[in-house]
Amino acid sequence: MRVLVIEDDIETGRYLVKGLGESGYSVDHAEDGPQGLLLATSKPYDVLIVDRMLPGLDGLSIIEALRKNGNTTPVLILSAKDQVPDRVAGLRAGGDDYLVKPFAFAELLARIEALLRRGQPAARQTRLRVADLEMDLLTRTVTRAEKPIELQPREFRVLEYLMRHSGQVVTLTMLLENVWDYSFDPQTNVIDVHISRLRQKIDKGFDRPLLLTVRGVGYRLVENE
Amino acid sequence: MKKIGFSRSFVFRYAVTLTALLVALEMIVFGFLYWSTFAVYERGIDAAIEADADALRNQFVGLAVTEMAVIITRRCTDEPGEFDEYLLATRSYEFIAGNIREWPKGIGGTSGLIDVVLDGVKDREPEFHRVRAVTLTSGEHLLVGRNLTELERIRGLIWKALLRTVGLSVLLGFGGSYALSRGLSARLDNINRGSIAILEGDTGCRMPLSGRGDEFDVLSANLNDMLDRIKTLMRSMQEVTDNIAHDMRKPISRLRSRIEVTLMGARDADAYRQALERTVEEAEDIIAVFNALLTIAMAESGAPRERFEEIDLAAIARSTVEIYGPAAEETGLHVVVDATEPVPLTGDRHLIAQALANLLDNAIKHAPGTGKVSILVRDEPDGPRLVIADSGPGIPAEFRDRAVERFTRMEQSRTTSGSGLGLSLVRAVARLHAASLTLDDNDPGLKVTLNFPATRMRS
Repeated sequence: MRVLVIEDDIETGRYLVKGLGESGYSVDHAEDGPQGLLLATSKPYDVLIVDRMLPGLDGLSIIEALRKNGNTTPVLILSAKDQVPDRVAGLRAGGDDYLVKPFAFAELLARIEALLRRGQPAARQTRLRVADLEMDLLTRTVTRAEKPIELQPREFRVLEYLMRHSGQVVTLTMLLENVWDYSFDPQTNVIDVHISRLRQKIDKGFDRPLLLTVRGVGYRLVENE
Repeated sequence: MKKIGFSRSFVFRYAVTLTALLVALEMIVFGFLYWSTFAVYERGIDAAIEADADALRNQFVGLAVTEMAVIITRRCTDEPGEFDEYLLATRSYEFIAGNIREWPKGIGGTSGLIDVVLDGVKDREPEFHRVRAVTLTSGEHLLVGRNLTELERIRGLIWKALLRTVGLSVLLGFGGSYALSRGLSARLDNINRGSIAILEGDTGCRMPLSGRGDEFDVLSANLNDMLDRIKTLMRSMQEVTDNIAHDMRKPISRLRSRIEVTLMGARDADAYRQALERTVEEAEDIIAVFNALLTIAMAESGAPRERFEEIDLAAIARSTVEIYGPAAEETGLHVVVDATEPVPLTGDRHLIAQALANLLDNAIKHAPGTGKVSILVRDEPDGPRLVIADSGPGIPAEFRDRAVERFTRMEQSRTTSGSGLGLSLVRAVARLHAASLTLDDNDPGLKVTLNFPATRMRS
């Protein structure tokens, strides 16, 4: 998997290159806007990480240029600006996800994985399946090993998101943003409780746990074999 | 203090304009008076001369000169109009009859109305006359006219009166408006002086009030209020920096100590790893506090107002409760939501959700095991209302004002997690939306009420 990092801050750039490299990605690094755009248009990448504030050409303009050219590579925008309208501007410019600095590296990794998965067609499914856990999106029912499981609407939505990202790490903020469309920082472990209740319902009494906790980062539903 | 030149001075322009208006008014009045009396009168005279001349001309057709002379003489002697004047003359302009002695030079034949200076009868001095000359069919010449001397005298009087009045009003006008404007300038100077004093560092200085309650007093009072507000803001900024320095120093020092201690210990990779992991967690906590501070500052700046949109307060309440619900229930709290009808509001969705989340979070943190938290969202006649009440320890009345300040924690909660910023954010968000925030005793517990202003007409 090839990643292009367009980031002018030396420390952050170095940190990203090293971290992503160690996570198994092949990383290129551009230190200003024009060079970033040049690389993005001349070499193939699977995902782009673009900082908003860049010398020479700002991040949003790069993304707009790429989209105009028909380039649909998923883009994760990094920014020091934490105001919601800026998030909206970033996504409207053609970005696919938006992460605010400072961020936890694990968060970045989780989101990149989600972006990479997004590239593959999975949209029109009516059923989701992970191991013996099955979800019917039309009837809104869930069964495991053929046994029906009663879920509240919010639990259903959380499980649906986890299943769509099975095998990937899903962070708390990703859940908050995608299941409830909110972008604040919950102070107590509110999401943890949702997850543990969900776990009670779908894992307890079955042969193996599907819903795993990744310490300090988030949760992961096992890979669908 | 800087003096403004005449051309720029508002006060000068004011004085000039007033005077000019006054003069213009006078001229209009005079003009109207003149036109509606004098001019009418004058036109009457003109018409009379014309009519008289035409009538005589017609009358004299076919008459002998002697007959004409008789008529003319009679005109002059039998109850003449005081100003009526006639002269019947031969073809060569010699006197036949009438009360004008001599045919005026330069007038001949049949003419229109001409103003001349003549010697009249009865030892009158050279005077103004308006005359009309007519040549009769028989060849004689007839002069018909009116003595305008009186008229001219009156006209002169009126003109002099006008000039005098205008002159007087210019003087009075300038004088008066100058005096008025001095008063204006003095009041303005007071305010300018006060402003300069404040700019030069006397921050306690306030604008003086004359006690008359006039426009300048209103202006000064408003300026003083603004200055008070600025002082409060500056003080709260000072407090914030003090608080940050104080409250943030601890966790950051703790962080450093842990790292130092670890470095002093054995070179153990596991110990290092553990210490680093804890460091990351603490750093995340510190970052969370800073993010919260930033959010509060942003809400207090008023900037989000530009991007307000239509939101449903009830829906936000329901989904926030959905997020916090399980966590609340885990601690034994019973959460009740009453927000079924949509409650429209113009505002910032994420900030409102965050404020509500903070309130719920507080309720969860402080409530005892089997307590209750109830959330009510209603569209009241005077605006949307949000009430969240818990059955926890509450906040004693004397602390409620301070509770919304940054970093304030109650003594008994010093050990619980959290930064003490929750209520500060709620207050900032309330202010941003022009909502009132009230803390009351829920007996037992705390009741937080947010009253938003009504945004739409009720039908």
